[in-house]
Amino acid sequence: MANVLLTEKCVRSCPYCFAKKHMDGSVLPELSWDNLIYIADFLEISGERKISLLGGEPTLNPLFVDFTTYLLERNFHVNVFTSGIMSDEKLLESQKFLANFASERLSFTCNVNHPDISSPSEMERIDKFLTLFGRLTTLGYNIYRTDFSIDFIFHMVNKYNLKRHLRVGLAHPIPGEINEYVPVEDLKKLAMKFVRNFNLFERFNITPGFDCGIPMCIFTDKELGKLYKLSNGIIKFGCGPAIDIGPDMMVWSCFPLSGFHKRSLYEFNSLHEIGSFYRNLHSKIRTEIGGIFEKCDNCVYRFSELCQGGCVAHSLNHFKDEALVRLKELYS
Amino acid sequence: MMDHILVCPFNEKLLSRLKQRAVVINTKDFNIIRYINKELDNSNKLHAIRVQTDKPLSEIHFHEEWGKIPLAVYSPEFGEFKNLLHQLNLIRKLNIRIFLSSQHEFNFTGLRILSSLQIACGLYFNEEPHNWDSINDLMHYAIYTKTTHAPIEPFHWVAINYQPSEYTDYSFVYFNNPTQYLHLNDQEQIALTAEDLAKGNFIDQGIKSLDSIHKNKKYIHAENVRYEIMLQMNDCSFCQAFRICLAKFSSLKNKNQTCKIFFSDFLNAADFALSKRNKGNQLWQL
Repeated sequence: MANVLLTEKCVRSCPYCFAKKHMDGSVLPELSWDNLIYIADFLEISGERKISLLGGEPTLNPLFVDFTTYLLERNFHVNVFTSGIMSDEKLLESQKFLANFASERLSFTCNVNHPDISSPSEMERIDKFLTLFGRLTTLGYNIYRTDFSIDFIFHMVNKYNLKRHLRVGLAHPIPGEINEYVPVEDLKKLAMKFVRNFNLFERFNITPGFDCGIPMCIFTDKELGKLYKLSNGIIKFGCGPAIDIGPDMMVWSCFPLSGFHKRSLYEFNSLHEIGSFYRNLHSKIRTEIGGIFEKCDNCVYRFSELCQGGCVAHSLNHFKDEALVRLKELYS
Repeated sequence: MMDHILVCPFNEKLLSRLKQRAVVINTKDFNIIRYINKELDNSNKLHAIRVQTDKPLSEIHFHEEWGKIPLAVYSPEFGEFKNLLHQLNLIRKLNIRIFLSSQHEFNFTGLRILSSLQIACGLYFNEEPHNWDSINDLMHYAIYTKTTHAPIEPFHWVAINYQPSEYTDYSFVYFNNPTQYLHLNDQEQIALTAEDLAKGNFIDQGIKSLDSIHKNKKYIHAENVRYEIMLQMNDCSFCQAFRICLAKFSSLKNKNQTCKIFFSDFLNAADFALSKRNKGNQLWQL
């Protein structure tokens, strides 16, 4: 699957934002029709039928509804990553054109922050969005500190009749930038805090699913067993190229690595080629440092690919203050 | 026996005199499409109905009852995609080609949208197209794109009809080639092209004269002078792309920066399409 940025503007300023490096330099316009058609053709040639639309806040692109319906007409499955915060006008337009699609064709991932750090007006807009699009929506929550709380999620899922799944993300460092994230040494603490919610996941019949970059060993074997059951056996500890495509047709591996070997989409013939290019780079980083922990170097679960050894951006962060002694590709 | 397809307005009296002949009906009124089809059902062979409208495409109201009626809709602009959305499924079911003007820049994107959504479409040129780069980009999209998409005319027509040893005249796409189409008005005046008809450049008058049109001096002359420009010392006669352009834009002043670049690329694309057509294992002739 590829992630396509419809715009680089955002309505929020989250402290953990790992897209920040990319967004801050934003002077570029939104994705255009011509670029969208090129991307859709490119994905079709690649045999890819799934596409994620994101930003910034993708609904800020004036053509958001046009683009989404166009891709649906071309039989792509479209997933939109949104904050749910949009003007009444945009919400009405979205309702008119998008609300009746089946969830097998169109879905939303609504990234929410804890209500304590969200303004009342933000919460009001999210409420309106979830009221209309609840049945198509999965909540996403990014953990960026160890004293997080996800109690409110369970309430929201029931209140808006959302999909009974929570996408749990972990804020990652952006090499060379300052953003909030959980340091490697605190990940175990984070896991302990997360485990305390297991009973809520079970009681509310909500499956947890991890976004990339969470190492497996921060959980005990017993906790992993429980996670396996809670997630219906689908639990991943991966880290690999997500493939993001910007409005300017530049591609990069994922947001934390948005400054790392950025390339033009026109340099590639298929999504597979892009994936291979960035997988090759990831593997070079892994050759230098196996993962975020020292023990990753010799971990059998990393070799068997049950775990990728945490976010590769943590590994790159190791290199930033040292002499240039590693493979030259790691310093791009 | 006359074998031309006659391009004429919808005039019941005229059509009653054109029985058993193939016709293209020109109209500006969408409301009479069904009526035209019914009227011609038994008497004439309907080649197509050509509807020229001032409405943007997205504001046209398409009807299921148009069914398999062959339609060529000429619209000046694409309009709003959102407004077209609810009609896409219906349009795909119709026997229709949608043509958009080269005047509006967004039409080039609009044609890509239509083609990628499997709707046959085409570009029609305004008298002096100014956006040759856009035309060239669209031609590249029409011929080189690897995804399955609907034809974009006139590029597709050239791609499937081009032969290096012959002239390839894409005017067929616009019902405008006198070897196949003749144009008639209500007074039964006959012209070689739509432009000639509009300008009053008639070659003959009367339905009866159609049967002997091959003997008509003006017709024969027009046939002979078609390629005469090749013998003149001008930009068009020296242009490598004359074979597919046939000096359609001879009045343009700065040809080296406009039509020549486009048609040279178009010729390369036609060669590419030809080589693709000829690829593969060809069996011996039975």
